[in-house]
Amino acid sequence: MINQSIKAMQLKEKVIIVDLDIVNPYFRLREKREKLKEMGIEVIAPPGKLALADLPIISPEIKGRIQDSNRILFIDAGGDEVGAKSLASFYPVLKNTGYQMNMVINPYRPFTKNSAEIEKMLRDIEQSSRLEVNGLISNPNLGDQTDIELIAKGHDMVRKVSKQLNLPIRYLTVEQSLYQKLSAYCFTENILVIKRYMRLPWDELN
Amino acid sequence: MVERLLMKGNEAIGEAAIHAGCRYYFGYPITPQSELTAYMARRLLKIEGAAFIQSESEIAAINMVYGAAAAGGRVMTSSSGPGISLKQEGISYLACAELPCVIVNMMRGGPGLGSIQPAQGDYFQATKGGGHGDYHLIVLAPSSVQELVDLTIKAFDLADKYRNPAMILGDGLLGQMMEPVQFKEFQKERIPSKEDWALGSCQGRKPRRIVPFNLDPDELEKIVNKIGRKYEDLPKEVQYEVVNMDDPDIVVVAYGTVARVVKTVIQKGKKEGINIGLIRPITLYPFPYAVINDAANRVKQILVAEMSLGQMVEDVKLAANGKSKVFFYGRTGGVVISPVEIWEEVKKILNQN
Repeated sequence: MINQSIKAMQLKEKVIIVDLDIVNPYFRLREKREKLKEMGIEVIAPPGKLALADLPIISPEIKGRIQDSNRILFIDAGGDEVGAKSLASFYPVLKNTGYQMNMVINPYRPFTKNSAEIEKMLRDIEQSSRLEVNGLISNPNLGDQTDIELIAKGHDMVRKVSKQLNLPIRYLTVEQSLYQKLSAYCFTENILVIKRYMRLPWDELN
Repeated sequence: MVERLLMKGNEAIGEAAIHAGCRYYFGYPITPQSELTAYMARRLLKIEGAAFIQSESEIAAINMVYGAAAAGGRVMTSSSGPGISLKQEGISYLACAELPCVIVNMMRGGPGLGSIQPAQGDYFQATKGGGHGDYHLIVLAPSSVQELVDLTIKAFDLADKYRNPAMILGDGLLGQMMEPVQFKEFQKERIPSKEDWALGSCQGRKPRRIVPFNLDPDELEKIVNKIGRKYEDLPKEVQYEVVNMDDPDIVVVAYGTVARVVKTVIQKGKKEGINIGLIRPITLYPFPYAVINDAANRVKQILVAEMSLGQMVEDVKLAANGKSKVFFYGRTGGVVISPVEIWEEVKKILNQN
């Protein structure tokens, strides 16, 4: 989501991200609020100490921002059909906006390991959010153990789902350290080169 | 090839438990371990003969664990800080009744309701017997998502072997982070038969009862002594990791998340010409006294780093037995110690001594 927003911003769009993650208590967009602000991206998330809580808070300003057609608004809803439930409250305003709803698929995650599981997850998300998934983002990875072969294998699965459900693949995501090795494969989809912004406490010591 | 998956720590514990033959889970959600309860709900309900109950409270859950364990099942419950405190009476009952089970505590900031961020303040509660009476839990402290898998399986094996509750003592960060994991093939035969003690149909044998009491003091003393003898055997199960311990200038003792941070600091030390060793207890009970005692013979300074006001440091001091100086660095409240903090502390100790 951060990478997509930065890409949109680089295309001279005004960008807002809504952190609507009511499922995960850590590794949420709001933790990068200041950094993103410095980059010119506004983050809408619970204010002050409430941002540190595990409460299903939905900021009141979101509705108004959805109706503001001068900006690109990204909404990050947490993980699965439970996280997608928070989107349902915006159904009345979203339904006429020409929204894009993308499901991010990593076939190396539990519950999205094969096409049947992915389709079930997609339908569950649609049911709980009342919105239609109209695109896929292929995100095959195993964290630090990701290599190009693994991406290719996982991406094949997403392609299969794309064909079965007749849904376009908006992007294939590839971590920047692997981008140079991509040429070995003929990926026809758009590539989103991503940088990991959510780091672990032991990742770096300058 | 064994399939690899990218899993959250909490999910990985759940899958590992199912892998180890756990078919009963009773729990109540609390951040930062709720994904484990959710995972078990999703998975166990699809397994024939398995049972999942989101109980009305943590107290109810631990007593359901008592029932399932008494019936001979592999059973698990999980929680964090406040919820684990609520379970203590039941844990003491399980220990007295010699019932095997696995309890997971993904620690968060405390005391009280505290915060939802990671912490290590429940070390005393886990290793010294958080409930009443003479008992210990077997306590395992993972440091990665793969280790959450491996040690969860091991916790079930040790619980059965010693007929004693075992605890996975992780923290919120380990529960929430994602890492790739593999599940090796599990041989069902590893699960020991419980026919000679568990309840169930008493057709063809005398009825049994499994109770956590005996009103006759002499009889209760016999039970307590029997439990005590198990703990005398436990040191043979000690597990730890040592890193860079050939000729260290200083040794850091840390477990779980903090040990991961120390490993980054070791690399920094190598670049700067400071040799930092690490002893990482993997079993917190039994505690690896011997390896720390041996290190105390070889280095002048030991630094203990914990996300608490200083709990494991007491065991390290016992192990060092005055042979080297033991320092402590800690953060609390849900603040994760950074590599910079440990690096600065190491330099400060080495400069002063």
